[in-house]
Amino acid sequence: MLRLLVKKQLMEINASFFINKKNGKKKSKTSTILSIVGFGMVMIGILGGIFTGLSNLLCVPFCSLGLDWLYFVYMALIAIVLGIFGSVFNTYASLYQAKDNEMLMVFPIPARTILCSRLVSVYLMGLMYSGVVFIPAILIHAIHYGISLGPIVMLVNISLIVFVLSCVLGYGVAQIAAHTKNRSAIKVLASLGFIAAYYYVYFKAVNSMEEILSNPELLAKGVQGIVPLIIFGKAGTGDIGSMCIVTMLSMGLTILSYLILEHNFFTLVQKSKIRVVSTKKVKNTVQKSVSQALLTKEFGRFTSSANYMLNCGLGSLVLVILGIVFLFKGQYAMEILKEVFKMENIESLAFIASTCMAIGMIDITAPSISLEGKNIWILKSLPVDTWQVLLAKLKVQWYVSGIPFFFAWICFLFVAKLNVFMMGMTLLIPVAFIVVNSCVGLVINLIKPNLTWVDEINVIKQSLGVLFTMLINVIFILVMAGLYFIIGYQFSVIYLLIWMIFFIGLSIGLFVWLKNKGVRCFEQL
Amino acid sequence: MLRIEHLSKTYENKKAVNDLSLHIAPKEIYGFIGHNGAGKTTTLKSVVGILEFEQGEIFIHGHSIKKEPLICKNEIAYIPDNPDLYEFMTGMQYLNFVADIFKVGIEERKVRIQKYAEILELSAALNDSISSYSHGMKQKLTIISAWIHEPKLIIMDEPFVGLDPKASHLLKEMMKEFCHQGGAIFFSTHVLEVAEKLCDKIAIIKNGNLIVSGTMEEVKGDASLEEVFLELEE
Repeated sequence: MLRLLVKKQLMEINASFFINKKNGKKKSKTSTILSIVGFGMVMIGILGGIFTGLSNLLCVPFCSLGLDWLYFVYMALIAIVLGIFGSVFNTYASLYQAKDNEMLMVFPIPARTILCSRLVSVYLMGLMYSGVVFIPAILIHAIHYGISLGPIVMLVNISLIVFVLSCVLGYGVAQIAAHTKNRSAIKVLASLGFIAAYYYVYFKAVNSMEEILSNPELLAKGVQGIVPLIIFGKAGTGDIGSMCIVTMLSMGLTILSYLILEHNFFTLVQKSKIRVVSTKKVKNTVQKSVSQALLTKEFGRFTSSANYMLNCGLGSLVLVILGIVFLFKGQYAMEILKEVFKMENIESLAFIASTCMAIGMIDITAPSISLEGKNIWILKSLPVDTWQVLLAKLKVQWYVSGIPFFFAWICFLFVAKLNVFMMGMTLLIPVAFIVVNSCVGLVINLIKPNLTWVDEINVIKQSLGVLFTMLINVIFILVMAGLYFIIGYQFSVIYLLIWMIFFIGLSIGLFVWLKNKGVRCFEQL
Repeated sequence: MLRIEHLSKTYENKKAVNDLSLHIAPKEIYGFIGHNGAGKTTTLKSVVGILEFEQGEIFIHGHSIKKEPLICKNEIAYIPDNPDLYEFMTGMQYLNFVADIFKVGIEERKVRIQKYAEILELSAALNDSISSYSHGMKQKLTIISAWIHEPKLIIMDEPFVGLDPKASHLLKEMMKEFCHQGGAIFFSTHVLEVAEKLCDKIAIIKNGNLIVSGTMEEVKGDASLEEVFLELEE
């Protein structure tokens, strides 16, 4: 039975790669190959490449000093960060809110079997993201020091830790959601609280490692706080005792998590289905224009889903944090940047690159067409210009990106002494990038929509459109920053001007595409 | 009011609707019946502009749905077979959304929402989230949203599915009243007794082809509609 359910889960993932959502038929070979190559490029080429480079940079220096364990701890922590980021937000939705939960519970299937099948995909998602970091670390270590069992066992343990943390959050959110009214907001707050707590622990661990590197005598003294880190890292080096302790702990926590989830899985699924009645007070109705009505509807969709807000809007929070960081640490950071790089306008480039990176994390438009799902008939049967529909989707992203960006920009201006031209550049390039980013997401989703999803997390997090949008954004920023260091710094003013013109030109091009072909694509859905 | 001329729609290699022509005049309730997969929903979706079709034309009040979709959509309302609505909205928010799109004034919409919500006994649930609605409640909400802008033509796909007997009765009364005031209704149904009692005209479709159409008397004569339908289906 479990195999059957897991197969069904995998079929859904498989369908996103190999099935054409518009006609339900198998994709052409070219389209399938392109999907696989695209996915491979993101996961192996870009992410894998980055972490292979990082592993290569750290492995020999650490291991030659006899700090193999520190190398593994360092890579493991990054792997856990990425694994958490990849799977943590979708656990609640995958376990408790899958649309087919009710249907499956009608069948003579034990609740624990349904739970297990769901947990398999949560585990695989965490494994995939943590593996992207840790497999290169294993390979680089194997190239220099030969293959050993330790790193492989450590990968299994890392995947289990990611799994346990994902389950803890998923369960916590389900419990809170079952007892509260404003569920989306609570889910977002709970998730953010968890992430904040997690990053606090992460940065504490990184600080401890930096302390070890700067004061090696701490190791000799065996400072208590770092003992767990040493045991964790030594498991990667093949130390039998450490391997046993870490494996037993991670296995134990996994079993414990499963038992807790199993204990009231059925009850929580039921509670997540029961909707709160009469939650909204009747306000005085105000007549809205068509565009206002559509915009309100799009904002309603965005704010109604914790998954949507967390996965596609988290960048807005990052922009606010960046603004605060600029305000309090900006002066210090700028002095260091100028000292290290000795390049003209480096602070402006750093501001543009960091804000664009955060803007790139906001991809509200990327799943917005797919999220219409079975409701698409409403917009198609109403007398609204299709362009207005698309524009409303773009505007949500503009507001969610633009307002926090503006805050970050004002904060930056307080600490950076810029001339008028640079003030303009630091404003216009990210603003143009906001438009480009929103249009890219919408274009990809119009070309590759999925209106037949079972769980909204499939389109919010696991769709190719979202991955491609993020990939394109990362490429833009890497190219912009990379070229600056290679050649751009020599004529930084013109360099930034070229990028501004490029982004404005690109956004005009994408706008024209959306107004013509994009509208046609939507009408043919 | 509605003129369908030589409509043809093909999915991949399968002809869903083949050279279908119909004319629905004001004040008419026009029933559309056929077996599952006969092409009823395809025809209705083509009429409301959700589905593109390769051959033929559809005119609403003289305007082509292909060339002037917005003008046509302003005149019509559509009730689908499965009321998939925005579950993140309350019933009232959804009605206001539709009213905003159709530019219905505040006072007018208040009066209409109150009137139809009372008729369909949905007033108490209008401020609840749509996600808490039963199938029948969603169907009622779709019906109110269809009536909110006082369209000239209402297209309904299996409108009685999911409604309790009282709501079905009330909907039939609303349909009669709507046509009495000059509107026209084109709807599909599997409930032949309802079609027989309610419709002025009827069309039977089989495998995408229109088999027969006309007034109820012309189509069924002295026999029952069920007998005629089963005979034609064979």
